Amino acid sequence: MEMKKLCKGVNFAYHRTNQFKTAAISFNFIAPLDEKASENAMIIHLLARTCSKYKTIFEMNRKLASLYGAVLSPVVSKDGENVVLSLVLNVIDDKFTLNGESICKQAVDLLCTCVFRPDVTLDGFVKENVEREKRLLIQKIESENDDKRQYSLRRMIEEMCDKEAYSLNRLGKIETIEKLTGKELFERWTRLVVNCPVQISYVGSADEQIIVDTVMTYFDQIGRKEVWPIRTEFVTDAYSQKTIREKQNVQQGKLVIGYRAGMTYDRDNFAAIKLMTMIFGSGTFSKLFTNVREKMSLCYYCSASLISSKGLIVVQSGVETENAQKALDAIRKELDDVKKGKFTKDNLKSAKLSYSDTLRSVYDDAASIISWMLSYTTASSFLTPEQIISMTDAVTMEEIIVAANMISEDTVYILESSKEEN
Amino acid sequence: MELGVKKIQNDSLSEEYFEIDHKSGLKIFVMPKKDFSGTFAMFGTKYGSVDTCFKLEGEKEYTKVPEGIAHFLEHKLFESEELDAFVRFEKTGANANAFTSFDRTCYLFRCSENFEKSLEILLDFVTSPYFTEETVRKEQGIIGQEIRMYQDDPDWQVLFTLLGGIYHNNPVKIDIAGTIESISKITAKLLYSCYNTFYNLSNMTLAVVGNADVDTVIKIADKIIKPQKPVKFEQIIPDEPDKVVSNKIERDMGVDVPKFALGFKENHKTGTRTAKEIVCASIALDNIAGKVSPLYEKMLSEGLINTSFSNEYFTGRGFSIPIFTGESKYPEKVRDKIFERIDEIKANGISDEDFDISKKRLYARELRSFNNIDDLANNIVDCYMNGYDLFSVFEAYKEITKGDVTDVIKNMDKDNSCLSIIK
Repeated sequence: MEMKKLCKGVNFAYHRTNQFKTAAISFNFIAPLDEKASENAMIIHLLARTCSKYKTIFEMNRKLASLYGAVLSPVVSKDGENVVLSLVLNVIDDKFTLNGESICKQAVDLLCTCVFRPDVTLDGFVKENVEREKRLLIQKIESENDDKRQYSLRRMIEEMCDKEAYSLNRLGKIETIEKLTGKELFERWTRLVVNCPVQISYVGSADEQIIVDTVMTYFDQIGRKEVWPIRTEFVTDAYSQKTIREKQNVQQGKLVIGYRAGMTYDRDNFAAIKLMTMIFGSGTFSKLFTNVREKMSLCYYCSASLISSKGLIVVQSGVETENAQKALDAIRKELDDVKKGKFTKDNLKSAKLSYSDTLRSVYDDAASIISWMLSYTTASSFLTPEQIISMTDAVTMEEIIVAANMISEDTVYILESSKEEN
Repeated sequence: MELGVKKIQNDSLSEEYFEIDHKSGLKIFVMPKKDFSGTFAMFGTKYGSVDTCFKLEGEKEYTKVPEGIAHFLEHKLFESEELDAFVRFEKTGANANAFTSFDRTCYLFRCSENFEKSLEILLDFVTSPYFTEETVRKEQGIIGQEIRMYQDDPDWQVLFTLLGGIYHNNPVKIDIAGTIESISKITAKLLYSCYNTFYNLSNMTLAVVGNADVDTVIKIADKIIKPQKPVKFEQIIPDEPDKVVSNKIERDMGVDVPKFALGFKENHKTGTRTAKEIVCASIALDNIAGKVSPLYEKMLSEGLINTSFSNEYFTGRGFSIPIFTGESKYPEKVRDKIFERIDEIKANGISDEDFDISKKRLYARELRSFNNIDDLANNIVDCYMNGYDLFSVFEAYKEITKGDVTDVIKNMDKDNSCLSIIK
């Protein structure tokens, strides 16, 4: 994995390998998560669908198909209090084209055409495209509500971080999206291209210079201005401490607990907090799996995860509504036990082994490499998987206990089943 | 090369793997990939939720088992009289898991270190069943919650609603995990009966892909796996009428965006589709309403579908359905448009350009499946269980003609289709 700075606020990260049959190139805007979320999400979807050269979805999809079934996907993800707007292009590696042509150059050209040459008129983005994307984005937001696990997690975060930007939906708000015009979106697109931090990432066998040269012909025509900062507010202690209950017509209730991890930035005591979270609740060796799931047989899933980009720990579980309190008590007891040092050396060893195994496997999947390399731009410092492995290797039992005692429980969210008998 | 080891290679992909007839009776596949840091191993049996009524050769009575028992067995196999498999894997750092599908059950792990030890654990725990009435009862609570979780999953429900609308008797329509009621009837004795029938080495296979070699895998198999005499079993496969149960089924789950699945009933004489049939059907579906079809753009622009719209040739042992699925506020209109498009192809055929574009697109998708060691291991097991090798699907793309594809579309009968809707 390597990184080059191309121009003001534009990074290029790449990993050259012959390991895969396909190559992946991604173009990422890293924008602040704020009231512009709706515009941002609309833009990345508009850019992925058509451009000035391929003005209809049909033409665009035909072009992609002719590039040996290239796949172009828009992705919007949260990274702390930033939103990463990505266009990811997957294309077969030059080694496998039927007549030895180079697809890589054509692919980067297409990606840049999508980003820098959108289909616009004097009134901004073309009206019918805007209307279509509004409908699709609104449906996407609505459809995410239908996944109850995801919905419950989002609701908990909304409540817990209600005074922080982190509570915002990465896809924006339905009411805002409905009102957007092609002109407003065009203005926002201009800001993204001129001011937004950008990372371009590549995994594949081609010479990375091909990508740099192509990308730079586009950036050279843009006068990049002052680059927006990338930042996230870290709250170290729980302050809202509320319990939220909602009822819905579901078979299974959900229990989500949000904790402040006591971190002041994304790498703050990361190794100890990560391993502590694993001992507490990720993996089959964790306390939540062995006790709450296996021994008490309360749920199919009950696990903890660390969101280091915001300093949060989240426990998620699917339980019968009548068992929610019992599960909550059990989860609290398990965390208390970690705080009191009631775990074994073997627990810590298992967590280290499991995590180092996961880290090593990053190199076996192009999407994982792309996602890892994004931290060149988004994280406070870039670390390779090997560097993190050596950091975690050094963590002691005492450091785990200290890390556990930094955690404070903030918000409990319970989705209850309103069905009387199922 | 050792006796019983066969190399299978494909020059255009520059890939190769080895097929091993192990002395124990187990079929083993190894695909060494030295440039990967990890290794993925999958140990599977041809036994899934469709296997509901069977007897061992020589037995008088058929055993009819409760729905969801294959999946229940999968959960229970991780337990043993001493250390549970999960606890043993903690010592190696491997990431272990298992899944049950309609027609198979697989146990797997992925690791970057301690491969040999992890493979020993995998082979050992899958071949050492230990069930007691007490542990069975405990699992009923956990699986009960898993069943509830799927009951709230609209994507899962739209599929099973469709299966119920297509099939009268085919056991594929049974929910893989069963129901709270059916799993309450599972006993340790029944689990042993299923285990002894389907977990015979002659019904199983092991695939290893990644940073491992043939000799190591054989050495560990020699050490752990005890030779078994093959068993023969018989199954009762219920008669399935040619016609669907219903042309349309709606269920209310209170979702914000309605989901739909449109499937066409097929009546094949043989149980499993060939690689060529699967490729033909995939190209056919792509031509009707895939992302490169004019119909896709039309429906997207008219607001009939969103980008979740997709298609799949849903097939396995004893079942095959071409399916279109997605989210729409107007599923009936989507169905009608697809019907129109099918009629149009039936009348005018497919253009050369459309055929070539679909072929290229899906060829690339196939190529992509060679990127990851987990996909590869999964595909090796899948292909073996379906009776062909890993490269067959890839090779099938080269020989398929337009005529093969139009034949598939001609067999799609709109009167014998079902639209399932979750509202």
